[in-house]
Amino acid sequence: MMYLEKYKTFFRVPRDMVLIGAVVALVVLVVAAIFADVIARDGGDFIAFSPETSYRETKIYQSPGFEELASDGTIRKHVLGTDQQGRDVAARLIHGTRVALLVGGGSTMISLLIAIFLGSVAGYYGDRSIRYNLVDLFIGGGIVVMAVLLLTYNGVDVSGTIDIANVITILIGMGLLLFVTIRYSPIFFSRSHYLPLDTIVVKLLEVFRAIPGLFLILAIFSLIEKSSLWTVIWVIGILRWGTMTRILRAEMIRLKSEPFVASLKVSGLPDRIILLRHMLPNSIGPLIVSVCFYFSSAILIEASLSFLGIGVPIDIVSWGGMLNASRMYIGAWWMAIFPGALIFATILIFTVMGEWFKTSLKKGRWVRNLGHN
Amino acid sequence: MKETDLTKILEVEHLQISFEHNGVWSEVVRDISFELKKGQSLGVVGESGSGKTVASLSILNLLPSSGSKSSGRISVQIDGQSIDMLELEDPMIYEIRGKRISMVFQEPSSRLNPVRKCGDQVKEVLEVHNIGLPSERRDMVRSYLKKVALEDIDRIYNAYPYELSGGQLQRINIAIALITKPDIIICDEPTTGLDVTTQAEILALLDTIVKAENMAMLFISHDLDVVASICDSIVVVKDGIIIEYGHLPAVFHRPKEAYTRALLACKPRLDENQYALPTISAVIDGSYKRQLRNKKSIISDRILEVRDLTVSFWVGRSGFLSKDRKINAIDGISFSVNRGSALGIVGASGSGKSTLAHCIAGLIRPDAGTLEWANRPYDQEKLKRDTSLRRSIQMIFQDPYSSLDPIMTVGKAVEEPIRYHHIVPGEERLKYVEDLFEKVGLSRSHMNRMPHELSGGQRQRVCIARALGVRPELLICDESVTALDVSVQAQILNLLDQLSAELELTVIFISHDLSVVYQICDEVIVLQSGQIVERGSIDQVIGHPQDPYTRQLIRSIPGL
Repeated sequence: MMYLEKYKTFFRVPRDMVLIGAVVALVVLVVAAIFADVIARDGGDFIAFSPETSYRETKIYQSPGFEELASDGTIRKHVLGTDQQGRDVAARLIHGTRVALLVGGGSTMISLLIAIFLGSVAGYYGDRSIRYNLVDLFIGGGIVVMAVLLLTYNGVDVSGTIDIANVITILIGMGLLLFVTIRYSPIFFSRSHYLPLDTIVVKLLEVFRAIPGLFLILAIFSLIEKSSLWTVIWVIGILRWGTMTRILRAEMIRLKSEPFVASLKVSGLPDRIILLRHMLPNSIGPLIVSVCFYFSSAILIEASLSFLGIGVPIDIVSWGGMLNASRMYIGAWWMAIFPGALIFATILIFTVMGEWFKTSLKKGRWVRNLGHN
Repeated sequence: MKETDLTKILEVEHLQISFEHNGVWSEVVRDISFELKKGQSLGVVGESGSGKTVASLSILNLLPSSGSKSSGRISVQIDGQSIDMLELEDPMIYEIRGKRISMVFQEPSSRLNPVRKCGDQVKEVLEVHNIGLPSERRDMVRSYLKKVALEDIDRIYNAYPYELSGGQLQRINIAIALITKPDIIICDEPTTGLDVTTQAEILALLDTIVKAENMAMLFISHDLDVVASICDSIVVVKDGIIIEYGHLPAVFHRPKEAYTRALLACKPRLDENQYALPTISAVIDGSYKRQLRNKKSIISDRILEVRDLTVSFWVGRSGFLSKDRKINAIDGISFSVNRGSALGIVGASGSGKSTLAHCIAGLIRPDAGTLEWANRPYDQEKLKRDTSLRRSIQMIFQDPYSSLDPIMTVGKAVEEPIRYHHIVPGEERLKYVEDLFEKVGLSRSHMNRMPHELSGGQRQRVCIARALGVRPELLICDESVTALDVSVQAQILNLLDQLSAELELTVIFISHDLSVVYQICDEVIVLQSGQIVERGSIDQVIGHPQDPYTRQLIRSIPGL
């Protein structure tokens, strides 16, 4: 007797098909971003304009389908029309993909790295497993002060760009000093105090949570005199590590009490191997879900900033900047509709992917849950 | 009236249940038929995976409606008419569940709502089934709580589940199941998670209530001895098929089938100490020969010394303005272990035996006392730095399902500590891991499997291989066979026994079950609330127990 096929959904697209659609769309976007210079260039086969065609009075605000006679005698078509400077909207949209994906990917990566570091350290070590002595405190405090000084004087120059080479050198130096402190100071001095790592991270999270994100970003951009694409990526990345850190910290606390972690400790494996090779891969599921949502919201923030006229400099094409330009002449509907639709579609892609991972995680299909099955 | 009392109240005919996994249907229950009369108690016995729990869930129509299908007939007699539970529609089912047929589950702590008072959870059943007047219900619950032998009813009524012990929670579960005076009660491994003394009490309680109320009981367990102490008929299930079905004394004393005989034989016993425990396959093919064990002679060479060890935990506050309380999980324990010997540590859950093991293995920092390894003191910090000492002390955990990294193949899991500690040169490592797998009774093909693809017993073998890979001197087994079936338990115990003799290991074996400890240990320590109440050689402690608590432990083992 079968009594399961009693209830059927009337109409339903299989979840996996939705994901495949999203992935295909994402691949198209990535290809467009990588080959933007090939797809949209002067005299190109697909779109015959570069995004920076020079200003001409006859070409401004032309609706989609406008054809013009080029200097070499061929007829070129503006498929999606032109903007207030006579530049091709389609070409600008394709070049704008680069900024969207770079900002989304770069800032998500920065948030992810911060979250992995702070979240796993706070969750794994907690408040009562790292001990320190006065020597540690002295050297550790010194490192922090040094890092702040170096970063302010060398890392960020006056024009607001961050010298990556400097930052990496400083980080490597700090890491080395920290390693020496952790490795050799207990041999000479006994460690007597607990370092409340978890409390420190949680308080930091609370402070960042208390400040409205967009306001903070606006405040920062008002301080930076001339922002570049990289400043936008850094600022969005650094300001939005909170949620991911909280997720990772919770995952680490859950995994920490799993017997397999205890058995790894008994095997004599050091904390870094347990953390990186065992606990992080086990918490990858929730991380991937939040990466997807981070990606889409970073793109949205970038678009909002460009719309407000801050953020990505005006000479770099971005979707938000195009929307901003469309405010000047409402009649040019193509200048608002096409970038808006593309922003919407990109966010939808990542949201769909995030939802797919989330439901798969719940079903235990994609990353198998711990233990019994 | 005698005849009506004996009418069949539950009849299961040719029950067949399949589950879908990744598009493949697999039959879990193939053909199970039995009947239950009023006042009768029927035991269903089988290993895990035999389909006994699934069959019992289907009686209450509790199987998930998608991904499973069932055929056959489960007819229940209610008010003179027969109802097929498999075809029952939603609103009707609530009339039967809890009111006519009740169920008591395994793991009492997870079966109660953690944020509601226990007494209210019992009362809720009365409200749902509209039994008694609202004003009387509270008193009904109180009188029933008294009936399930709970003391201090006022406190229990207002207690939240986390405040009570496993035994008390199971009594509350029994109260929830029985307060509606159902016709049938289904008990699904109700005592499996509990320790021996509590188990004996719960079984006695179930027995008295069921007899007094003349209910029919279906008792599901993997433990034949438990079933024998409470049921009058028995069904032995294997792979979804009934192997043997009959009255208990007949099945128990003159089993017809080899499988039943094997199931009976592989349980460790207190009355004889065998060289190796019989396993199911060995009994069935007749290769098992009973051989009593000779006790090893032990050289008096202290390898581990524990002195005045104290571990305390902070427990949450009991009230709004009260202070945090500190309880001693281990309270000043001292003992020593000789090289090559096997020490058993026995105690009820909560007696501190696991804490002690974690402390010796360096997972917990003790509050006071010292640990010495080969006459040199060590602590958690030293274990972290001194890799040779870290390697010497290895541990096997209770739950094989969660003591392996779920996303790493078991071959890699075994190899990892070997690579990290450079036990063997790189080119020989693979061969070394293969040898380890063979040594613990697995084949090379198991190396590429993920933990979830292995059975509980196989996983525990992997854990043993992992611990032995770094060539330890002391192996701590923390309830290492408790989560396993009786038959698998015998295999793992034999393996541990054989390997520890072969590799000259020192073993600390922790269990709540004296009969398991009896099989592999030379000496034993009995723990009660963090203190040693009795110690001595295993024969002496079991033959002539001095402490009343030890005597109670021995008495509670079912089947004696």
